[in-house]
Amino acid sequence: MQESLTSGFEQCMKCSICTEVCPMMEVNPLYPGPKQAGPDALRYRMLDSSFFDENLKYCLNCKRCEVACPSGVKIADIIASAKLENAHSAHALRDKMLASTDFVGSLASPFAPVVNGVLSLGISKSLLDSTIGVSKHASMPKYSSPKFVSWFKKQQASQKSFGKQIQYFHGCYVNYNYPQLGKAFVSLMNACGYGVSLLEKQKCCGVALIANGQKKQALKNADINLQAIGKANAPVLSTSSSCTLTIREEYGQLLGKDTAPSKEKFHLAVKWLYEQWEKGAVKFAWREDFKMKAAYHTPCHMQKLGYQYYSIELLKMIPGLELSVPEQQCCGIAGTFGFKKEYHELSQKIGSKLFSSLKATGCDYVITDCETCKWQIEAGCSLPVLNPIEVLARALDIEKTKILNNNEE
Amino acid sequence: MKDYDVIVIGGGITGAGVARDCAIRGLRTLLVERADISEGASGRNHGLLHSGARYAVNDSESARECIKENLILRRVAAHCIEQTEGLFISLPEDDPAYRDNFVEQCGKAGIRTQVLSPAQALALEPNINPELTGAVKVPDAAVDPFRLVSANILDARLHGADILTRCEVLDLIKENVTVMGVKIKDMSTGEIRKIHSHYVINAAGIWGAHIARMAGVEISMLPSKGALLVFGHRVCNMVINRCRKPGNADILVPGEVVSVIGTTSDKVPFEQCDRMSVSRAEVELLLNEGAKLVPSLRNTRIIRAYAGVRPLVSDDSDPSGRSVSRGIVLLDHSSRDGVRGFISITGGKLTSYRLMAEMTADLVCKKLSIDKPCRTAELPLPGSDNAKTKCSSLVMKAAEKREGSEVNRMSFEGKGNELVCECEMVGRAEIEYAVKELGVRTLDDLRRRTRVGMGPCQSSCCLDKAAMVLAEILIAEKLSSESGAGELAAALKKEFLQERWTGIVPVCWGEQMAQAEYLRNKYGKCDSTI
Amino acid sequence: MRFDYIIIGGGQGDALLGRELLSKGKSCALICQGRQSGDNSREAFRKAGGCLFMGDSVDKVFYSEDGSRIEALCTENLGSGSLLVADTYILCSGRFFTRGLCSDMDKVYEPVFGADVQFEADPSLWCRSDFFCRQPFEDFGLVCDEGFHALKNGKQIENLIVAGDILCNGQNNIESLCKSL
Repeated sequence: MQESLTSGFEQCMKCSICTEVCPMMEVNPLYPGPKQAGPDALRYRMLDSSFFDENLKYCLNCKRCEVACPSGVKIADIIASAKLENAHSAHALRDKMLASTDFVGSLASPFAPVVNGVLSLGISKSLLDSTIGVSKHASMPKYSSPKFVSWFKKQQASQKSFGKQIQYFHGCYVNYNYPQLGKAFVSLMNACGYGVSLLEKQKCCGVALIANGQKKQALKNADINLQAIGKANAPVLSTSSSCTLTIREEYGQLLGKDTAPSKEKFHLAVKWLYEQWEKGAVKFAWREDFKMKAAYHTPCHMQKLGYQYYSIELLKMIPGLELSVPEQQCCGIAGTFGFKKEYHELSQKIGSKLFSSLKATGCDYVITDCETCKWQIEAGCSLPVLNPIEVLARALDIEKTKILNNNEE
Repeated sequence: MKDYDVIVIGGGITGAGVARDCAIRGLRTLLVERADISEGASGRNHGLLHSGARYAVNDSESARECIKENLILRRVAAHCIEQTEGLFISLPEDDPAYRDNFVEQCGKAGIRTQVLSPAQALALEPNINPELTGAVKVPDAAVDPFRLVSANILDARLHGADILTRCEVLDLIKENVTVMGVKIKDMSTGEIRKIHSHYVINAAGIWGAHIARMAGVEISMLPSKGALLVFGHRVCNMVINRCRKPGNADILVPGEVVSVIGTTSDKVPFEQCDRMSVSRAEVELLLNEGAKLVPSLRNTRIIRAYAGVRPLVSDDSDPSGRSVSRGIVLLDHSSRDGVRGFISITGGKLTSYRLMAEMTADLVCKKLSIDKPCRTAELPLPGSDNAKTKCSSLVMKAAEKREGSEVNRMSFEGKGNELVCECEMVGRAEIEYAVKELGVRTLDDLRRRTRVGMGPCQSSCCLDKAAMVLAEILIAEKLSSESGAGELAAALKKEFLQERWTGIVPVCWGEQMAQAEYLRNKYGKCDSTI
Repeated sequence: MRFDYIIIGGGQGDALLGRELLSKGKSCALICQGRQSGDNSREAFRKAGGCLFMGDSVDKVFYSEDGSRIEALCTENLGSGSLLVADTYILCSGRFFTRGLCSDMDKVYEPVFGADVQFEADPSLWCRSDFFCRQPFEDFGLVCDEGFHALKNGKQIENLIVAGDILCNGQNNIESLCKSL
């Protein structure tokens, strides 16, 4: 009954707006829809847990239903909780693998060039498709060597010299696949006068573990992360919208954890940066030769957090950036969902509206805070995708910014 | 040659049970009911299958009756019953000596009990008042009274009985001191008919006094109103009672996906029995008392309030007419009043309906010199026969929960699997079955049998669809004189909305106020042209 | 964050009013929990340059010392570290369904500012038995002064304007506000 206590399901008026905005409803008649899968079925699951509908596997956890709900019902949480309690995967090994980003990442990263080469071969993709069910049509993310933390170890000493400090929750993506973002983040923070350090310990936030029913591992990771965040003596910043949503919200709503530490200290970097700028604690100077035509995509989890304002306002400060912000759409990847053989086509169908609207802006780059959106958009639009932090770092006149911020010392 | 051996007046649980028992014994049986089945007390109670524990201290005969019947019904009416068990909890202000006596009296009546510590009780039911001083577990259960009545009526029909709903008895046909039949009016067509039988059985609940007067016989009835509240979801899994002398609002029953708290006990005049409504004061009383059992009820969404009238009969042996007859009242008017061909069966409880029917059918058979034994303690009701079912969708599974093995007689292929009421998982196949087999003609009839419109939104969500589907099926089965499904759907909706509204008004605050606004905005601003 | 106007929305016309303000060159933010079927006005507001905080609601209100002015707000999503400040705040949060008005067993109230609400004191008179006629609770709503300022315990909140169907007695001033603001 725990899912019922905080989900607000009693507030549901059955207006069905959630069902209207659900991206899965549009493309898949088998999905019962958020209202039915959530607050409706919850009353029957409370009577008899065998009323769990297997078709809840189609829920993307995009939270668009919650954003649209006028009655404040945590519809996606009700569905996610039901899945955590009841779902059984037909592809247990694959789901475990896709969700175990730390495990797979630490194996793959040391051999990155080989792994990347092999994974991009047609024959390997077909093999993965026919054996464990990873779609041969999906482009696997590239692994990176060295890992971000290996690179960072070499910077640790010099970072301590800054008078002001923040801590960086790098997450799996930055660590195993794309350390460039982490490096851009460090460079940006340094220019603003902040030294960066890592948490005493961090694990994958667990968003994929939760979605793939790996509750035990998700709880373990949550404990480790929350403990480390609790011990932090500086703000803990993340460059990923999904890590931020998971650690600030999902740990409480779905895993029953006390999220006081993360609510107090864990922030999405763009929000924290904007707020420092607003207070006058941080100043920016921009390169005159920076020119970019870009479209900003609000990830669904970012929309749920309500933070897109911060990314957009920061980007708007860059004089050379021509920015358009089309209507928010779901990209369809839903983390590991789009990599699964049986869902890949649905995932592409869902994202097709977004792909068209992004291409229609005529942009050269897409900017977004979510790494899995990045993969989906790169594959779907053939446009390069950057995190706002990367763009800010590129557009920043590092020297001038350092001077502006050092004058505050 | 009479039209029938027996005419039973009243489509509540008593009448339905009598008609079934008579039909099974081969009597040519007709049941007449002026509205739909279970519109009286049978449709306005707790939904509690008593273990009898509640009566153990003050009325051991009723207690014994209840536990015997409880155990029988668990077998023969299995699909109508959820074996929840029950707790009798003692609060700090309740006398522990009462509890000890309670356990002893239960034992004497054959009701098995288990004394629990507060910690044990809270482990079973975390939502009960944490200040409880003790608890006793008893074999209470939850019963869906609509299903129980419906299954009895269906079985009566399957055994050859005729069932006439929406037919009001205008008068009894009498010749000297013998009742020979009934004069009825078909409320849909206005047609008036005379039907003759050897015996007329008055099972009309609180309206039994009115029927008896038609025979020139007086039964002194004391209408006693009981109000109840429905909460939007299942708060506890067991029936929760207060372990003290029976009082107001001391029973909370899980009704599958809702919870029901009740009840009160107030004398009302006969005229009010057809227009029951619940006042805010009654709602407050129910909520305050209920919160003593389960404190979180104060913050639980209330979806509806309703009230019924108990058919209490004053004890024939007391000339003042003020003492209520406990237990079952079977009146053979031939020996009591010199009026032949007429029997009244009243009093009793939902839990003991089968026994009431057995006693009545035994008496009728004796009068008609028919030697057939009662078999209702062994024969399962349709749906409870343990036939194998295979549910390939949740819509089928929900139908199985409601109709038991009768789900095998529904066709879920194609359109049949279409979901009509999302909140209560009712598919088109179940609606079709309810129309063809269970006498459904209006949305309210449908509600009683399938739960359409009984969820928190009180049909806000599915009303358009449900009305249209019902209209289409009624027209296809030639059960409506309307030519267009649209017009019929509009009329069905209007009637249902007004009925649902009656239950929302007394609890219109908080979430239900918002729901009421939504309902009004969606359906209330136009009238019959919706 | 500073704006000329912050609309505490959720009710019909909230984004329409916002667009009107944007067209007059004002900066405008709209905070609203959810949306209604077929209503694209929020997206139109955002496209026109409005700042849309959808799926969010006001958490705390900060008043001046004498309570006559709102100084800042913070929201559930953005947290108490992020203050939203405006010259003028507009309360356009709709009625019971959109939670602009709330009720418990014996009173009706406005949940964000605690603004004065006109309602029938006797709860047994909140509804009529006939479903198809106008219900008394449909006339409950906020009382204001002539300039549509919200009142709190009879005192005006200077920079809080009330808009839309949250007003009592079936009033709806969206059109006139669009002209006058």
